[in-house]
Amino acid sequence: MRLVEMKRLVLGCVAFLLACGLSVPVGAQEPVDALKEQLRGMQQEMGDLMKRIEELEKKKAEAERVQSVEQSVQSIQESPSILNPSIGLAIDTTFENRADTDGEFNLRSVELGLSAEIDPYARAYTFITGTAEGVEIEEAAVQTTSLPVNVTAGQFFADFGRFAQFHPHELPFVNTPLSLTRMVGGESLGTGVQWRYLFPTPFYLALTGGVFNEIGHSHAHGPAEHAHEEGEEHEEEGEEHHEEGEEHEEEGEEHEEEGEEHEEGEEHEEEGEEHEEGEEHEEEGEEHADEGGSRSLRDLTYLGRLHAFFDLSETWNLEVGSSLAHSPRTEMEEDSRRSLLGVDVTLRHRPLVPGFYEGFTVAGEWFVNRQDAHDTGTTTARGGYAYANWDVNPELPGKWSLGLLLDSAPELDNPDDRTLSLSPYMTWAPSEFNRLRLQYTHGWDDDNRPQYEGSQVFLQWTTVLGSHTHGFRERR
Amino acid sequence: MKTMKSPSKRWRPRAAFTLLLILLLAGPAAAQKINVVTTIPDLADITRRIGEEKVSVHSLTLGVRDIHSVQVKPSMVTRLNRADAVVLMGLSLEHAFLPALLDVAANPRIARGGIGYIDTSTGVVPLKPPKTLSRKGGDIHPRGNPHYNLDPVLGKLIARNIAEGLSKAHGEHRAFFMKNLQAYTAELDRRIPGWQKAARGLDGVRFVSYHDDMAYFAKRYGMRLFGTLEVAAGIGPTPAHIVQLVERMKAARVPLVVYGTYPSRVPQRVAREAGAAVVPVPLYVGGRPGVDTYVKLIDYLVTHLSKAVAR
Repeated sequence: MRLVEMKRLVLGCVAFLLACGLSVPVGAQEPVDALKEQLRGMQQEMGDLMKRIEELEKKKAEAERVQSVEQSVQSIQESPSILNPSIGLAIDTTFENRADTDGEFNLRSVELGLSAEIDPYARAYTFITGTAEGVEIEEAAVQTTSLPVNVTAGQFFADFGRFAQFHPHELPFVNTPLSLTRMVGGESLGTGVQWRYLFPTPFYLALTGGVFNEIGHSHAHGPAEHAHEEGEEHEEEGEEHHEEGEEHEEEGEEHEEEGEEHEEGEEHEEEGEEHEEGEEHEEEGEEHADEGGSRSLRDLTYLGRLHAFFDLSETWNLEVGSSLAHSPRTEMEEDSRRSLLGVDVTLRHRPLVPGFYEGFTVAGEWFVNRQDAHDTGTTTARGGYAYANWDVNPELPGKWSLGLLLDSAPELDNPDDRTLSLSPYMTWAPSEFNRLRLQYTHGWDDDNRPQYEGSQVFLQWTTVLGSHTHGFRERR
Repeated sequence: MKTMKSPSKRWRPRAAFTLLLILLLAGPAAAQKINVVTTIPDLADITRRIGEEKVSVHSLTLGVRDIHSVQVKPSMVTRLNRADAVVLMGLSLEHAFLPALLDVAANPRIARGGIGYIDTSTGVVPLKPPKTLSRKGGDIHPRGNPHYNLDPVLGKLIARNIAEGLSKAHGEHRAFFMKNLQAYTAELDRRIPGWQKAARGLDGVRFVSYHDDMAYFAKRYGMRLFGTLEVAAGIGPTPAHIVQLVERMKAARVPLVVYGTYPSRVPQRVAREAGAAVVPVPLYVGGRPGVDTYVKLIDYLVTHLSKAVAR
């Protein structure tokens, strides 16, 4: 019976009883007091009944709510996609204005990320990235979750430095710093295995070791600059150099003669030949990979990283790391080897009470690259970047931050040639999944190359769809 | 010609070895107690009441921080790596930081489904489950509102879940945990009628909140959410939204604006323009000075909100 009907029934009964009570003849023997008492009793009963009805109504509403929640949870649990991996898609677009290209729109990358637990012992993730140059599997790795040591295997960003482990759209500024591009290859991508041990110290202290075919796009191959933001310019450069190279071949110039020309300082030709050599070796590398297992231990790259973190107070913290990647024999040249040392420092402040000022990060990385080659001897290049980022809340919608990036990038083969840049930038994120960034960069290049020289303006729009959690690796 | 090493140089390796030994032993020495890591200070306070001297408890976050944007710190990995148990609110309240930390903590005890993974939302019927699972509704919590810590009746459930969770992995202390649970539940039972009585003035009061984080408290004491300063969950206020909200508040004579771990200027301005009282509220233990226990948290909310409404 519905509650409303019950209410009506109770009220009807009460009315009937009252009517009966009032119809007692005046001359009856029953005293009036007894009637009054009876009436009070009935009123009391009616009150109790009304209370019970209200309680039942409340319980019924609660039961209906529980049922709707249970149905909702059940529908999620019974969904055919429940055991599918988490899926996320990041779209990174820019408008760029450089001295050499004027204005152009770019779809820099579309990154599809999938991740899931495999079983109680491991998880796996992959990032499939599409750029103007095609689609590639950027990362595909398995990571243990139950061993005392974190073991990661597959193709992934090696634990080298700080921003080399970031997907470019996760960086706090628009472009990968040129120093990072030239030294590491932009991202510390490698195919191999890595393990991280956490020391039982009162503070965070971790030691990473790893073995890879190579780390970064260029670590084993020399200074090829394949960063996303430079792709096109370098392709163009490469074409020009090819042409120059072909001309040389037509002219029948021998390698020795080329060497003489180098001394004469024809830098562009020199670069062209290097690219050619680089490409040849890349092809060789691919052949090696195709053959499978043909690398000797000397052809691998070895990684070590010591990383510490200190909570200086409730509001300040300091993170320091030192990384070393060593290739006993690079593919660039027989009897050549390369070591890359990186030191990174990050200092953060977040106030306890939120207001206009919401936080501050100052950080930097410094790299030392040492190449030993049979022909050219030892070349040491030093470079790095530093940035400061202020999170502010100007009472406008979304999250705002202002920053300044300084970058000093040497050429690895010719460390005296350096590109410097200064980039102020501003970020506005209407939500956690939607971000716009405006950046101005002024560059000074020792070789006066137009893609690095002068003023450049970038407007970046990055969005994330679907599943999204902040990975530990890409924390700010 | 070889030279003798100076005494200081000879001592260096020994000193380094001793230091390393101290550092290595620091972990096991502290591991005498059950090492519990909680996500919010409320859970830390209740765990201390249940575990007393048998537990060592640390909260990953502070009560003044916004739980939705917690800074992921490596020191948290160190804590979780050595934890015997992790106590969390669940309902995806900690999604911004906990899954990422557990991925790298290399500690199967506290992995999801592990014996030390204590989700205190077990048995909670979530309020306001989203009608559609779309980010059009902002940064939604798919299973419903996760801020159930502000309902003291559910506080008893939290305590029970913690006691049961700790007992599962440490059965030898079960009687001890259950005795403490009984005492703590009795304390809450003694206070709940008093809070109910003190909060009578809140019954039926319409209020505006920065974020919908007072839902369970409001339901317990009969308050009615009129609107939020956020446009949607996790999407901050826009000028147009604020103008509309103030107009609606004026028309409906909404008397109260509350805000938790958010900047004060927008709620202050909205309250001023709408002629409402404004109260900064602690959402977690430690959210305001002096609010250092769960009981004091509920006390603070009941007392301050009742006073604001009475004025």
